Amino acid sequence: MNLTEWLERNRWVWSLLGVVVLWAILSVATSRFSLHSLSGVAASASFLVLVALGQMLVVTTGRGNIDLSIASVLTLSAYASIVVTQGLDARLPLAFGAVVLIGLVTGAVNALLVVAVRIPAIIATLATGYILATGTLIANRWAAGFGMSPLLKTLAAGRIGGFPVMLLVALLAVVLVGLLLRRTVYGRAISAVGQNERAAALAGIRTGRVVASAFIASAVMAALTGMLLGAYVGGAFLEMGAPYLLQSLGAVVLGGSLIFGGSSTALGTLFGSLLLVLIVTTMQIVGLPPGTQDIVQGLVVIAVLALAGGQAVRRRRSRASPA
Amino acid sequence: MTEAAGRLNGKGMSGAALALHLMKLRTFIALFAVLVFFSLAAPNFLSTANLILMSKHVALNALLAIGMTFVIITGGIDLSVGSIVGLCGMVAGGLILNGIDLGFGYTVFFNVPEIILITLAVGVGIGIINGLLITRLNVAPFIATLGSLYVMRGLALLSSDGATFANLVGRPEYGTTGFATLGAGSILGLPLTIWILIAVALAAAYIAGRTPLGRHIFAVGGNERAAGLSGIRVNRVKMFVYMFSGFCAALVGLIISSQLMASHPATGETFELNAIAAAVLGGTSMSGGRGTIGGTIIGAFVIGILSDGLVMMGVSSFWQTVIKGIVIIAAVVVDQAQRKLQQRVVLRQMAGEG
Repeated sequence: MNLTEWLERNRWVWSLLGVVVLWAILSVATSRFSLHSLSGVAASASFLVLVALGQMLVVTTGRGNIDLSIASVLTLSAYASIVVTQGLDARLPLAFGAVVLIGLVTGAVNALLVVAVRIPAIIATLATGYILATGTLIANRWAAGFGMSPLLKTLAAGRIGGFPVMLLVALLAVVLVGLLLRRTVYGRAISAVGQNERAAALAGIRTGRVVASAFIASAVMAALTGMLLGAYVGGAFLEMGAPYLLQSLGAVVLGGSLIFGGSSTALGTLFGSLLLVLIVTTMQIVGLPPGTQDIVQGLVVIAVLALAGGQAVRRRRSRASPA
Repeated sequence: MTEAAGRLNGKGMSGAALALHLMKLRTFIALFAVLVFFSLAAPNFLSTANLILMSKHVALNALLAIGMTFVIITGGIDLSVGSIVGLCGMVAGGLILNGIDLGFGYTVFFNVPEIILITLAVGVGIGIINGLLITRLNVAPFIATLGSLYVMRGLALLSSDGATFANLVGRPEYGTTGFATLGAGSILGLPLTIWILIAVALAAAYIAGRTPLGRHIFAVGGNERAAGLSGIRVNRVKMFVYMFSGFCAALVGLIISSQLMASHPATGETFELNAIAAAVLGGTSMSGGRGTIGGTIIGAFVIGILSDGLVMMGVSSFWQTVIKGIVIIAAVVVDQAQRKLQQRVVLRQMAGEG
């Protein structure tokens, strides 16, 4: 196997390269940037990794599938976990149940709209996202004055020997999703549906179920992340989920998963998330004014897709033309 | 849909055809329903003052929705309109208050008509960027415009460091006064905003129905490959729709800053949902190829009357987002039911003839 072929198969290498290069530049340019600060970046990237893995599953199923409701799911779950736990460890299982329920219900509604009613995912998830956003406005009134459950706080913000616990959680999730995609029948089915839904259906895959499960997984991941993120930042606020919408997409495409679906890499999503958070951190260190962050993130996503998306289209065309 | 299908089996073709007609008229029925409901439920709803006020609210969304309709007919989507509204408002506000600083002690101020032209050019320019991303770089429309949503919102925030440009009265010595006319002026008793809507709507309807460009927009949405093979310059058509959408969004940005005499960088957030809702409710098919400007405007009125009427009845504004979300989903569901039914009716007709 030659190098170009290997690179073609392992697209996550580019995002890893990006992380290493950017980190090296930062370490040289600002002497205070060290391995320790990288672990801080990794800790805050961990939340993005979890959301992005869910988004990746949805994107993998193709047909322009995308989950735009994750921002609202995340925020609402953060509120729900605060309202339910009321700062007590004993109520943590209850909160966990509530948060998973939010994810399951939202994911199921998205899946129903996309799979059964055949509404384009972008519209369906935009609409459910706005409906949930209304829920967060209402939750915002209740959630005032509650503390955080200490156990949850340890999980989200604690460190074991200087190593963030959250990063372990994220790495575990990456390994699990990676194995799921590469080594299980279900994972192969997701990719197959994304590459050619009709062919997958004719090969005996229940495509509707596969797509539905991806939406549910995405919503549940976003819900759990909301719970952890709430504990990490020490509260919930209305706009807390908003950055994760574009960032999750950004992490997925930076990592080398195809936006048209059919081919994804969990490892790439991990490095994509790291790279994106590193870029954001860099901007904060440089002290750029408000708004620049949005601009750079938007540009990064567009730029990556303009490069990768064009390539994918060409590849698809060349593959499609002989037939 | 099951009801319609039942009728189809029971009474044969006439029942299905009737259901089809009802579905095609659904936007009118919805408009009629909300009008009747609120004129009964909310006092003063039908007063002239209230109707004009509501039309002013509706006009903003209708303008965005007209641009969105063309985009959706070509099979694309423009998620960046809300951000364009915000950015263009900031451009207009900044030009009135601060002018353009040339850097060596000179500051150029433009008069209001020039500012309006510049702002509209900015909107069209963003449309050009969206269009280039989609046509030249093959970025999927929803990603390209989602990206520019963030970029434009960021630029809007950056333009003032997040602050509001307030009190846009301008200064007589620079000739920057009179910006308020756009939002507050009226001709023959109708607000200027509504005249603008009428003008844009007529122009859009003319383009859609009477020009080759209009036919090409529908052709591209119906079958892009076939359109390209039959000699339509698909990329140019797509460029036009995103430019037009940017133009409409810039108009809305101007009108809002003129009405408020202030521009705030967060203006226009979630406007894209309203515009999509109006277009979809008005019968524009999300899969492209079908839609009318008239339908979109009626759709915008249904949504506008719904939200204003709910406010008049004292329903919390929180619930408006919920209702809008549900309205969009319901509209798409009915649209798809209609298409299935239509196919069935056509098949039956063909079977009957053969």
